[in-house]
Amino acid sequence: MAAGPQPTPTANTSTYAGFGIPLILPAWVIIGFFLVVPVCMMLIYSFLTKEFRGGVIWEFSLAAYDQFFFDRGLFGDEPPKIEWTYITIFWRSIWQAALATLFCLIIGFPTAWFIATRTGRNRSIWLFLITIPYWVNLLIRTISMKFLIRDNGPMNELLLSTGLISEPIHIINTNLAVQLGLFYSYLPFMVLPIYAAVERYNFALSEAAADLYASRTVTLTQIILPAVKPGIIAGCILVFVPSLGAFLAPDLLGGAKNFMIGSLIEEQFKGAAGNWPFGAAASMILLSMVLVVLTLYARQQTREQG
Amino acid sequence: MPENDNIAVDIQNVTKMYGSFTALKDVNLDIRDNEFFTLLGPSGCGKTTLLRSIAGFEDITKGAIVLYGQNIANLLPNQRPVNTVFQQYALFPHMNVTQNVMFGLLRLGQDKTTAKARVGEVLELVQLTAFADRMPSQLSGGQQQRVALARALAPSPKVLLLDEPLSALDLKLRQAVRLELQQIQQQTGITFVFVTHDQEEALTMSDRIAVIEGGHVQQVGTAREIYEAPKNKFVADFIGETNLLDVNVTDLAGGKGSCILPGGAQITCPAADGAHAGPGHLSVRPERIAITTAGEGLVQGNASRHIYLGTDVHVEVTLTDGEKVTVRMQNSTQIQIPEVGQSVGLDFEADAARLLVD
Repeated sequence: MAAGPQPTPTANTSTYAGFGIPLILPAWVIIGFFLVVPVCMMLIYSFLTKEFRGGVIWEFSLAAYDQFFFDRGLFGDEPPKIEWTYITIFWRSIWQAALATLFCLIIGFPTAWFIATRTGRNRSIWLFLITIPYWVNLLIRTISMKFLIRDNGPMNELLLSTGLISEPIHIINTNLAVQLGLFYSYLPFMVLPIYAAVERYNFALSEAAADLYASRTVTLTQIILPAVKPGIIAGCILVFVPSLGAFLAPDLLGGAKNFMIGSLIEEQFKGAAGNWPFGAAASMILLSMVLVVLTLYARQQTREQG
Repeated sequence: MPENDNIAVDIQNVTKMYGSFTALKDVNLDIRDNEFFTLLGPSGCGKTTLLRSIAGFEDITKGAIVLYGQNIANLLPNQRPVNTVFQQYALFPHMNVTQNVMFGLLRLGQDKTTAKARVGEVLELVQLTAFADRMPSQLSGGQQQRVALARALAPSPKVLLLDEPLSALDLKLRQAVRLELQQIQQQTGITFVFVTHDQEEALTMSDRIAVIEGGHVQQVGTAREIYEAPKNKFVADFIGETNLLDVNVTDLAGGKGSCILPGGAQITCPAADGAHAGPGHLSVRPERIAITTAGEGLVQGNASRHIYLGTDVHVEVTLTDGEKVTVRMQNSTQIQIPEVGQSVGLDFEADAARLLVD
């Protein structure tokens, strides 16, 4: 048949245009109410005065931010010095989250590649296996890990019995334990977006690169990685951001010395020792850091595509 | 047409198995230096597998692939001095035209200045100089195809492999690019190995054609040879259109055979090597048959259908024994096309017919 070019249906074809607003309205209401409002509340709380048994007094105050950044002595009458306690906790959190992201990437990329290069049914099975641990509550899984890596837990017993080590390895309550916890909790968030990117990857590009005399390493770094970069970046964001605010793994596996932001914030809202404005301020500082990173990334993306 | 006996690619007893499926069965081919050589066959015949085996993307199960005297069958793709134009172009999406074309040159260790100059040359050859800074996504299909060609030509490969490079283009463009490809092949003197399922493409462009079916090479020859002297039923049927008449072969001698046509007439005509006595097939091209009045000619029948093709009309004639024969007639006022239902006789010269191997 010699038909002329068919009009391609687009989003602004009149037949469909009218449906957009009513369909998206419930989502906007829910997101607006349950996402934006709580964040605004936190922002407001961070500028209020603390009430000693938890809660706030509706009186404007910068005390929470002041407490975060400055040390004015026990009675608050000394000249302000920089308060390192919380900055150190933040720095440790960033460092831990970055490391967790790196490890997830190192382990997650080959895993995602493996799954994406399986055929049909096998691929679905592997994907399914990756998600199985998520059917168990994260708290339970973290406690199980604590049990597993204790000084006299199964991991050490196994290693001792094989004779590989003569003394139990002390992991629990160290940074390494926190790292393990974060890695374990967020690995699938790295695997799944990379899997999606690799699945879309056109393997003819690898052949073309080999045809043009590229070694395997060059093909990986110059052709494959740029092609799956969006998946890698999505995976890194999905691991880094929740790792930064995580409190279960640092609380249960890290002990008191390996405090992270998440635990610091959690503590402010729990029990009599709490300080709501301070917790809110810490949250806001964390949020603004994440926003800065994401904005920089988004700007770089638009520049690349520009 | 190059008159050159140097062998560029010598394919020796190549067999390729996928599990228990045999994709290539003991293939032997000599592809000459400077030649535009086409691997032609229906989809799934093994032609692409053969091309990919030369490129190194498939490991062959048995045999040797000798490129200018060197067996390359065990080399990795990046060690073989051949380049490929891929069916879907496979341009690197994150690199612009220049970077795509330069990729192979840099891998070969050329410095940037030399490579840049060479990129300029090949882009001029494919008339894409103005598009050097574009990204592949900003190019039309035809332009992407040229970039793919430029990228494969840039390292000056000894042999250029083309995997159905025109199949994604529309008809008009395809015809224009055919001519250009031929010109580029003649200008550069590079041996082209071209894979296609399109017989017209093969006939118009190639110095020689290998017709492949079921993992076997059926026939190798120039376009004229395989069209006018097909070896077997498959080649006769696949290349162009033909009528295959059921005949009884009575006598074979000196490249000629005698046979009895449906209806009883007897002719002596050229026979393919390997044709044998007994029931066989006689191939006659539709354009070589003339329609005469009923009772005259070699076979008799009734015009049963007209197929209108613009410049030509195909008249389908049902023979008395039920066989259908297609006759190609020019659509012209001077030529009388028989009405449907009219009794006609069909005539052809003995030399226009050919006895085939089944």
